[in-house]
Amino acid sequence: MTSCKLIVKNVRKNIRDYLIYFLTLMISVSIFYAFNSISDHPAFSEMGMTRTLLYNQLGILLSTLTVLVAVVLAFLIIYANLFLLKRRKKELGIYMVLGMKKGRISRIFAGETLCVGVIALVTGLCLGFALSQGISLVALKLFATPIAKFQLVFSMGAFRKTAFCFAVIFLLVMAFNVWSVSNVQLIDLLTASRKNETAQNQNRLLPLLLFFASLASMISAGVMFYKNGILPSRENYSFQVAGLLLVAGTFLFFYSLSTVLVQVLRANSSIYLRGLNTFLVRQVGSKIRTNYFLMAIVCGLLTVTICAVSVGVSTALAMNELSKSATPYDLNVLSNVSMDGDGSILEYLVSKDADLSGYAENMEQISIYEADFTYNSLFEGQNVELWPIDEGILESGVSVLAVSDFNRALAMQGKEPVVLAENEYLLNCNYKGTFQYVEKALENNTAFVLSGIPLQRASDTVLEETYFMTSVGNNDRGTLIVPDKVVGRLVKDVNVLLVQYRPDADSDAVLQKMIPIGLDDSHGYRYAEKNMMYDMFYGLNALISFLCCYIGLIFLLICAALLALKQLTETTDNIYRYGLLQKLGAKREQINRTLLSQTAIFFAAPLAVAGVFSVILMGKAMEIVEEFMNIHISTNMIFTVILFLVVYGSYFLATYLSCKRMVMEHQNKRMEE
Amino acid sequence: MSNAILQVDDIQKYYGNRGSLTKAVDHISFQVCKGEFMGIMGASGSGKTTLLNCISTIDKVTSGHILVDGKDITALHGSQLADFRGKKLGFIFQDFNLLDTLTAHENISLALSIMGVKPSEIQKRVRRISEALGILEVLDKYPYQMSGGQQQRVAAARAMVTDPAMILADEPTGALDSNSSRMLLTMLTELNERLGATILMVTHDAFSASYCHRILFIKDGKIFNELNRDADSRKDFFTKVLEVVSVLGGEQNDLL
Repeated sequence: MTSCKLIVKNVRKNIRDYLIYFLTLMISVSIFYAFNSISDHPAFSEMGMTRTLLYNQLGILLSTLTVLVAVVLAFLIIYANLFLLKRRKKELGIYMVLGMKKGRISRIFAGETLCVGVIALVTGLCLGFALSQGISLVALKLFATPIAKFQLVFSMGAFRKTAFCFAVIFLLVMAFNVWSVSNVQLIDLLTASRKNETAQNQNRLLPLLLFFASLASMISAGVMFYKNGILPSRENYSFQVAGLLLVAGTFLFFYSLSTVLVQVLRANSSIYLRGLNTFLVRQVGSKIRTNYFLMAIVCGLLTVTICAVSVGVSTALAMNELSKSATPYDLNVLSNVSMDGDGSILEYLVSKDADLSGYAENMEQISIYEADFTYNSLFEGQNVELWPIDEGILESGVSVLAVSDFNRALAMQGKEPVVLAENEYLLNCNYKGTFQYVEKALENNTAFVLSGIPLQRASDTVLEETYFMTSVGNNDRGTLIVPDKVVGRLVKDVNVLLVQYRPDADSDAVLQKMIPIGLDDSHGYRYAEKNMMYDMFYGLNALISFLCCYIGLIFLLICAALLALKQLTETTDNIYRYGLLQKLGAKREQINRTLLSQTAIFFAAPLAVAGVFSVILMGKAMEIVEEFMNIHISTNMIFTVILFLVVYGSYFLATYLSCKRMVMEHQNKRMEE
Repeated sequence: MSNAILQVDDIQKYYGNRGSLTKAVDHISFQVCKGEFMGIMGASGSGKTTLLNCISTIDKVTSGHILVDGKDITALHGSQLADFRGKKLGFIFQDFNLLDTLTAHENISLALSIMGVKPSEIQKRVRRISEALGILEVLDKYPYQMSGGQQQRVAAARAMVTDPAMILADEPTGALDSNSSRMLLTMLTELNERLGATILMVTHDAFSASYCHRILFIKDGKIFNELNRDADSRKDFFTKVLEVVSVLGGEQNDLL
């Protein structure tokens, strides 16, 4: 009998016994793969070529999330493995009694881990491959890419990442197993099942004090979050303090909860002594107390899940309500004057075989100049706090537009022209991030000097026109509109060709012609196309919403799996108690009801606390997303509720049914004897 | 004594900490000779299982020495201990402790393959011991497919197959009905008489103990009495055992 044979036999047995562990392992692998393969899909790599700032940030976000997910999964797997090891103590003891050396036992356990790992990895990858195709289909729809582009893709990058991460995790598990095996005492192994729980602290006051302390710290954390938001600030340590309070409070809460609960219920004997309630309360009490660490972790993960999924879904829904009025043109072509010289963009396009005359209904070329002072001086005297992505503009010159160009742009939209006297100016801005400062600047500067010419304020309201387009809700950060003769003395920054399509124009055909021009690095021509922009805007938002849901799903699965694993293991350990109850005359339905309530309370306790946390944190999270996305989002919880009902609910049900089956089988077996 | 297989020399075993010190084994010394069938008797909590655990290297003594085949096992460490257990000792437990992933045959052969015995040799030896114990027909069954008595005989075969210097049995009849118990005890006697196995059995059951040649009575961690069967029949010996047991303090009914 070789070690190999022993390993194979044990693995076969373990897969049957610990189906939930194996399934969780497999599902983690598959989700991990699918998650990582998404960014490798051709449809998204095309999008990547636009190299927007947002996309770069998304890349960073993605890799951070990958690391986070890997760490969480490692925690889950090592934790689940701990159960397996615990349950097999006796087996380990027999090997030792038979004279097997610890080195060889370690090798057997390591081999088993390897075996289970490889099987889970292979099946998980297959499942993940199938899953990622489905996800890609959904994603392609979300990103408004024709389904014709869909193809079966096996992502090597994701495969390598998955294999590497799980190899590391399995190595950790193996090392952990070897370490455990080489540290055990034989006497503990053989008497493992006979060992009593360590005596509980009989002090009644301390848990009560801890309970109120936990409540106090959680409430104060909530208040701090509510006041100061949920982002770390450089000015004070409110975020860090509140975070610590919340974490400590959660742990303490679950640590002390059961003792308080049991005491309260015991005082009420009409409840406590009815039916099997005494048993139920004690059982639940000891379960929550011994698993307070797990409960707190699960509670934290559930909070993240609820927030992520709700915010993600709400954002996706809000996007659909965005009006299209933000982009009055179909195509913009920008040329960088310092690179390409001042000339007609249309002529350049024709020379590049991109004649637009067949597609365009209206075309105008306008020029944007750069003022001889920066935004910094425009906003002088204000306490300016820009979003991180805008911080660069403070050092760049203020954009200037000739009033005739501005009016031509307005005319294309069928709007009335603005009238400006010889020595007057106007300010235009339609960017949320700078609007308040531009407004203030207009208020402060009744007059100023632009390249030696003094100008008066023509109106005290800021115009909110769109004279060229960039991306949705992300436009003019502030432009001076000045008389034509003033701009002659300024440096021309960019020329912009504004195009409106004919109703029957094929925008894809235009895009095909524009792509090589946009990619040509030797010239400064750039373009913005309405349909493409919509794809990108919705695409990026969709991707973020998508990621939120994804992470939420992973965390939810992990929580459910942890709870299920724990509940199953404990039921196995306590199975004799149910036999005892039956001997005492408890009916089968009574026992089933006790099992159901136990499982329900075990699953519901962390969820309830997480729900309260989420209510506080989600409002704040939503504010941040709204600011970042520039869109208004109304919170939508329906999807979250459904997701929880399906995933959490089915794990709960599976756990309850397995527990019931285990207890039944045990009883039937006893009856046969 | 030159033919002593086991020599226990003034051992002590304490449990717990300064607050509550339990002397589970308190200055015990005795010897077991080659080919002896020796019993250790005592009520629950008398320290008999602790004593056996110390002898079997499952537990460590607080002080004193235990010599098996002239070798001090209290000085062994790590893989030496594993080697010693595999080569010199065979175990029979109350709850059998068979590996339920393996068949009876594999359970028995595992003990040999751990010791690095050649596969061809393993087959021969498993067959021989199975024949002797009458478990040939269950060799391909898994533990949960066998009766308790069969499982215990497989466990005994596993203990015997390595030709150990001594077999340690911890309440071997504890989980068996009276018929299976009798069969197992007869089997142990046969092992002892025909194959010359040295057996050390711990029990609280006077009937089981009456199969031994010599019985040590333990109370509160100390040797209370010693009883030799000599030429007595098993029945007479059983009566003598009961007498000692009643003197031992516990009520006679408790121990029956």
